[in-house]
Amino acid sequence: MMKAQSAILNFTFSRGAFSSMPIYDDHQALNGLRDLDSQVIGAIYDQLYPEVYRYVLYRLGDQSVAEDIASDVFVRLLEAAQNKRGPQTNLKGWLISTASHAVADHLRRIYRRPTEMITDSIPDLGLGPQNEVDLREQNNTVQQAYAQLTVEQQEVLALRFNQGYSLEETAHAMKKNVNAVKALQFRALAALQRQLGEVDYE
Amino acid sequence: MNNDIYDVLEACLQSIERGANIDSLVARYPQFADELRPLLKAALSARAMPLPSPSASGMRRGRSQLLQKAAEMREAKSAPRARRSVIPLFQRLAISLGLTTALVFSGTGLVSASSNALPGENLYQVKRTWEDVSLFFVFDPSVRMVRQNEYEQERLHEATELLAEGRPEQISFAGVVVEQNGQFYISNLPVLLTPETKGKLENGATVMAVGRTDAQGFVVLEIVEVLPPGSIVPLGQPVKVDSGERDEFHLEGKIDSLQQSELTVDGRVVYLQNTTIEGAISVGAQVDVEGYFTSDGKFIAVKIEVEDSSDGDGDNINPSDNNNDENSNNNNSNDAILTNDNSDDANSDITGGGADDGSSNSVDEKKNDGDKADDGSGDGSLNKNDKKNNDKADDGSSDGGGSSEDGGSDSGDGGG
Repeated sequence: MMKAQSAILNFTFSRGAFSSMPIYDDHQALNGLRDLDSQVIGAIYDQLYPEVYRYVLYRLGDQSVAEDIASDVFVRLLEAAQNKRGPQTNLKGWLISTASHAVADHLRRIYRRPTEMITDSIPDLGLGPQNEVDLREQNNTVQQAYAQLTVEQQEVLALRFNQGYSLEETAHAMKKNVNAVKALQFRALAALQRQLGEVDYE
Repeated sequence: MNNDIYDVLEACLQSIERGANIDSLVARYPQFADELRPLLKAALSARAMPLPSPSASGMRRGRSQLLQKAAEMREAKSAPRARRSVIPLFQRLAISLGLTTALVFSGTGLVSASSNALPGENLYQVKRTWEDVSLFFVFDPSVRMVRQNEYEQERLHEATELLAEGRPEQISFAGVVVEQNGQFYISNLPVLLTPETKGKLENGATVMAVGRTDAQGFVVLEIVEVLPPGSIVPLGQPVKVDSGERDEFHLEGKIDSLQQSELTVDGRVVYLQNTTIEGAISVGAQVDVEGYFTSDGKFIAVKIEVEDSSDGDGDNINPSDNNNDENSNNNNSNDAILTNDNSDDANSDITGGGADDGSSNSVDEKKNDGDKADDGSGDGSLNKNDKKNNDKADDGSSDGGGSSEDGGSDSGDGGG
């Protein structure tokens, strides 16, 4: 019994030591992923989970959903790496883009949302007109304004302002050309500003 | 014009990234000032959206999910391809059912195939089903309790192995909660509470726990249920009781008191640990305890047999009584230890003694039974030490008398 227990302790210790060690060598990480090396997988998770989580939380504003989706993204990473569909070079880029798809799936599942047009009012959340006004007055937070944007508008803001992507990186991630992203981010900020209800916007 | 404002906005966003303030940027592009200012304000809001950090428990949960997935995939990869792909999932269920049926009718030979299976493995369902099936056919409640206790013990074994392998699987097990330096253990398995855990841990409580083993060697608890007082649970000796490697002693007497993990037999504390109990133990019952001493002098019962109350209940001889010099041969550090049946010396002695007794059997267990029969007439209590002493006083013609004398003189030495 004693032997078994000390073996577990040793094990815990070595794991702990490893997980605090940063590995951000994509090449090494990708090899470890393919080999299903649990130490590498654990280290990738420890390093990149907070980023993926932050992205999803930014998009959805719900902590527990963000945790679930972020965890799921890493499981998808494992599966993709085994089926040779995984990231080739940019691990984090792959994770964020997979998270973005997962967010889109999630949004589709909970309610149908217009993907093109955006109106000034809060779309139907099942609230009466005066509730709508109350909501806007009381909880006029950025998060709620953001939630009213289209999926594309949300994504461009998340990539640029949450993940700190450059214009080119954003274009690459969204599979759009640079000019389209410039226009998109302009519309996204304008829409956000409208939702925030700033008085100085005429 | 439109393209211009897009470019200006992009230039401004890059400047904001580098720390420029809105006023200076607006001043740089006076022709777009009205349009630009609210956009840049919105950009600042979008940058500054408050985001709580991920919860430690959420992260841990995701991590163990991920590592479990990796372990499953590793297993699937290393398993022979044919087996998994040729046998579809629904057929596997049928096969395990068929196998179980075969086990029921063909006896225990095939059970061994599944006896080492761990949670998550193919044969594990067979193992658990077999356990259920064998319990189903036990009608005697006390035997049933003993069986259940054995199966609980098996759950602990499984958990220990999973933890040693760092393999995440869902497990359930029973035990006593012990807190040590802020870390909780249930039956010696280190456990973790998360905010999602249903139920609380209290030091000393007897609980049934459901959780997941994780790669760090902990059981992350999902549900903890406190069991009603009096429930007997394994105390977490994840090592199989192997009577072949321990010094075993007998103690016979009446139960003075009965607690969850220990009982007192004629004043001697007997600890229950993986104990097989035959019959219903209760205060006042006459029992025959088989057990061993730990290095710190505790007497741990391996088996408790409840005897008929009609048995003689004379003085009993304490198993720790020892004034036999031959015991110094034993490598045991415990002074109180009596005979080491398993040491060669002891064995040869006993064999010799057995011959004198007229018993031809040299196997320890049988030997004891033989003693029991002989001694029974003398004082109704027995002890391997009796045997030993008898052996020593080899020529002594009357075993019964010899042992009862020994018993009488020895009883004062007890309590080691």
